[in-house]
Amino acid sequence: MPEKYWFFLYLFTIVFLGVVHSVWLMGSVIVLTFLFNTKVSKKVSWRIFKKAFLALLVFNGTVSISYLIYGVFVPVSYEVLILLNARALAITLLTFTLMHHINFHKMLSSHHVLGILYAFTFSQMMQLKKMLQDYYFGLKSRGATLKSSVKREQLKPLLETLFATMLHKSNEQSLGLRSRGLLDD
Amino acid sequence: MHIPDGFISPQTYLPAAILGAGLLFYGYKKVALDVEKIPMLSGVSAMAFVMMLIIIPIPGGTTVHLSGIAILALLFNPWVAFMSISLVLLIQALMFGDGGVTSYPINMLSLAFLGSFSAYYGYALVKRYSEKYAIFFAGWVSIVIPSLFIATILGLQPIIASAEDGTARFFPFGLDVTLPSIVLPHLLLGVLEGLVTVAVVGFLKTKFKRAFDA
Repeated sequence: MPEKYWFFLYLFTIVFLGVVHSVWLMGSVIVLTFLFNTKVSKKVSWRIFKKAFLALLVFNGTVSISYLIYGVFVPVSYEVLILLNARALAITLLTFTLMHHINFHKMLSSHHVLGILYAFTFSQMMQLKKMLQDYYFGLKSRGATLKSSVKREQLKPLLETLFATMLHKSNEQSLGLRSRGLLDD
Repeated sequence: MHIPDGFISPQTYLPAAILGAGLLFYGYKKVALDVEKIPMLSGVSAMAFVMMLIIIPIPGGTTVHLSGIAILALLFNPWVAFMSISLVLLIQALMFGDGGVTSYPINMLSLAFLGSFSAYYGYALVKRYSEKYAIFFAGWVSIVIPSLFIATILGLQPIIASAEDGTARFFPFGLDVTLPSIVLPHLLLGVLEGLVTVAVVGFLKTKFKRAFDA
């Protein structure tokens, strides 16, 4: 099935999960998605599950703990809490599963500009992220901690480097697009 | 401030998705993407993404990260900032799970749209008194307005999508909880964002004068 149809099926499913308020349904989606991924690779399945769990940990954890504390003073339904977290995990798990199994760039290929925009953005994001990571590693190797990492006097040269790289890369990509005649001027 | 999946009801995110798609389409026409602007837009988006990863220590042993929304809105224009931040939020939601797919329309409308335009018009409003204060105000307002919008949307969920017996089905707390707990910390975070915006905008505008004059 083409990528596009998988994506529409995914969109339909996540909206469906929003209108059905059953913990059992959310649980079934989580289990089925996990089993589907396990069929492909056990290692990948755990990786996707861990990624989805960690993505939700802070926000859902804060809301859940607040709700539990609130429940000490006021009678609350704990099923709501389970439904909320199960729905969040089911949708996030589906998202990561989809992104693992389809080629998102291929999905956008029918729209020329969107495809190029996505490819350029993603590649630049990864490149700048790598630069920033290297910068952090460099600081770490010199004994700095993450909390003491980017001080005010370091922020300007860091942003200057990132900005200059971004402008240079954009200019390069622009020349590439023009020379290949990918977009009409 | 990115809302994950499961907290926003379809009654909220579906109309927001239609509105967001309309704004994106209008922005796409307005920015008029060509061989120069596509790489620039992707570069600006990447900058926004990476700025959100820069951790700055603040007194008290805690850290904050930049949002960069006001910086982009002031350095380029609010439509470019809106499109860039929307693109970043989409990639973050799909690839990194930072913010949900179902909550993407709300995140986009608050952070990308309201953040960019409040920064731009906030700057325009205060500019006549002082350029520096105007940049600071742009940074502050780009944090506070989205937080107000997000707090309102989350707080309305128990009213919009509850069961017949009043049990919440999505975000369980009302406006009496969301407004103070989300907006108050952002009033202070906005001050930091304002200070960083003043430092970064002035510096980049001087350092890369040619790029912005072009």
